[in-house]
Amino acid sequence: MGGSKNFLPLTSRLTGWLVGMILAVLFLSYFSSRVLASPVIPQVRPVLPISRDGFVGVVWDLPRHDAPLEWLVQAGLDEGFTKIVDESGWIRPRLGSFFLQVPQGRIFIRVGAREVGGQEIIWSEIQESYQIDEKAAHWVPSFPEEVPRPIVFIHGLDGRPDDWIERGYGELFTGHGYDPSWLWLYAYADYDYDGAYDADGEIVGIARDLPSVINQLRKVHQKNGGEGKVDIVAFSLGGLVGRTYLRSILIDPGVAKFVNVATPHLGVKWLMPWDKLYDLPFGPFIQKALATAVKGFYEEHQARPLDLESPAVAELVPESEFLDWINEEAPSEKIDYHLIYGDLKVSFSQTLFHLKLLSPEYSLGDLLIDSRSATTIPGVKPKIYPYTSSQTWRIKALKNKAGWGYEVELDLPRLKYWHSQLIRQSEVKRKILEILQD
Amino acid sequence: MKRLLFLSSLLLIGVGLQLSGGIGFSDLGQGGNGSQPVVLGQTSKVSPRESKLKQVIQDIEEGSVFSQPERVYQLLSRDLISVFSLEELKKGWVPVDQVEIVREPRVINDWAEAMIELNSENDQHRYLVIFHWENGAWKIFATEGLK
Repeated sequence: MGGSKNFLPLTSRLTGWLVGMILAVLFLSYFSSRVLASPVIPQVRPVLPISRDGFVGVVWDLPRHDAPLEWLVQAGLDEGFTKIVDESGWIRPRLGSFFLQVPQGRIFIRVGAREVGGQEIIWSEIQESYQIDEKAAHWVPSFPEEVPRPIVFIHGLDGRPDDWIERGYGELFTGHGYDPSWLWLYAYADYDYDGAYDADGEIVGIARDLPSVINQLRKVHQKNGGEGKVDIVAFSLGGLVGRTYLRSILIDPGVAKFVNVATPHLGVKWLMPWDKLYDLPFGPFIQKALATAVKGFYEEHQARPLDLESPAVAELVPESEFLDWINEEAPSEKIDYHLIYGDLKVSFSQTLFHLKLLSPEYSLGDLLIDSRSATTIPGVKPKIYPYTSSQTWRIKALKNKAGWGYEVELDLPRLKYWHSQLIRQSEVKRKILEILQD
Repeated sequence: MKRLLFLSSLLLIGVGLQLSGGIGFSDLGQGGNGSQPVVLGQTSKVSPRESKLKQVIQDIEEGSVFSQPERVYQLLSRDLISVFSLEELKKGWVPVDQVEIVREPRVINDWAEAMIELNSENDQHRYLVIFHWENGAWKIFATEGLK
C-alpha cells in the first residue's frame, strides 16, 4: 500500500513534464515560422542573347515570401567572389532581373536575398559562370557546373535497359545529385507481349530512336539552365549504337561526353576463326587451346546466349560493311571521348622435364574485345582508361582422338576485368562518375 | 589348269607380301583410321621418319641433347618456341648426368611417345616425352612427369 501512495504524485509530475514539452515544441514551431523564416533561396537564370557591349543580363526567380525581400546580384572573377567586378546593391525589383557590367574572360554570378532590413543573407546555390567569346565579343555561357547533364545509358548486345539499375548505376548517380528522370536507359527495341526483347537487329535500326531521345533530353537540360547537352555512357555494342547516332547527325549532336566501356570499335575478333583470335605469335596448338578455353569460359558465364547468326553480330565481325562505314569518317571533335577497357595481361606456364617455364606477358584485352579495338576511334584522340590485371595460365598437354593438343587452365578466381564483368566493378563505376562530373 | 591357277595365286600373294614389307612411318603419316601404333625395332623396314626419330632418341640417350639448353631448345615444337624463350629455358637449367630410354617410342601418325629417365646429381625423374612431326623433323611437343 505504501508504494501506491508514492505512485500518484509521480504520474502527475510526468504528465506535467509531457504537457510542458508539447507546449514548448508548439511555441518554438510558431516562433521559428514567424521570426526565423529564411528567404527562399533564389535561382539564377541567364538571359540569352546578352548585349554585346560588356553587359551580362541576370534573371532570377522571385519566390513568394511572407515578408518582403531585397536582392543583391554580384559578378566576380572567382568562385569564392573575392574579386567582385560589379554588383547591383540591394534592390527590390518587380521582376527578378539586373544587368551587370563585366570584363572579358570568365566571370561568376550569384544572387543573394534577405528580408528587408534583415541581416542574414542567403546566397543562391547556383553560381552561374560565363565565358566571353573574345572574337565575337558576345557572351556565351560556360558549362553550368551545378546543372548536371542528362545521361543516356546504352547497354550491350546481350543486355537489357534495366541492367544499369541492377548494376547499381541508378543508385550511384541519384546519390550524386542526378534527377532520376535525367538518367535515360535506352532500349534497343520494345518488349513484346511475351516479354521478349528483340535486340539484335542491324545497329542502325537499334539506334533509330536515339535522335529523338537526345533531343528531348537536350531541351530538358536547357530548360533547367544547362547548355542543352547530354552525356552518353555506353557498354560494348552500345558504344557503336552511340557512334551510329554521332555519324548520322551532321550539325550539332548535342553530346558533351561520350563514355564507352569495352566497345569494339574495330570489331570483335572472337567472332572470327580461332586462329585469328588474337594478334599474338602463338603456334596453332596453343592458339586453338586458348580460343577453346576463352570461348568456353565466355559461353559458360555470359548472362544470355548470343545469337551468332543475328545481323548485329555479323556487323561486329572486323572489317564488316558497318564497321567500315562507321570508321571511315572521324566523329565530332567537340565531344570528349573516354574509353574504358579491360586488359588482362597473361603469362603462360608449362613444365618441360624438370623446368617450369614462364612466358612473357601477353595482352588478351577483356577476353572478348582486344585492347586495340577498345581504344581506337579513327580520327579522334580519346582519353583511355585501362583496367589491368596480371595472371598466369597453365598450358598442359592433352591426349585426344587426333593425337595430342594443349589445354589452357584459366585462373578463374582472379578473373575480374573480363568483358561482361567490367561494367560491374565498383572502380569502373566510380571512374564513369568522375569523368562525367569532371 | 586348276593347279596352275592355284600356284599362280600363291606366287602373287607371296610377291605382294614381300613388297609390302611391313607398316612404315610414311604410311602412318598419311593418317587414316586403319593406322596402327608402331614400335621401333619391330618393323622390318625403316622409313625416313622412323630413322629421324631413332636419331633423336639416340642423341637424347647419349646425353648430347641435354648437354646444353640450346640443344633442347632446338628440339622444341614451334608452339613451345612461340611462347617460351631460350633465356627462359636457360634460367632454370640443371645439368643432366645420365639419360636412359625406359620405353622405346610408339608412333601414331604425326605423334610419337617415348619414356625416358633423367638422372642428375641428386635427382632421378621419369618423363613421358611427346614428339610431334613438324616440317620434316621430330620436335618435343610436351613432357609429362611420371611417378
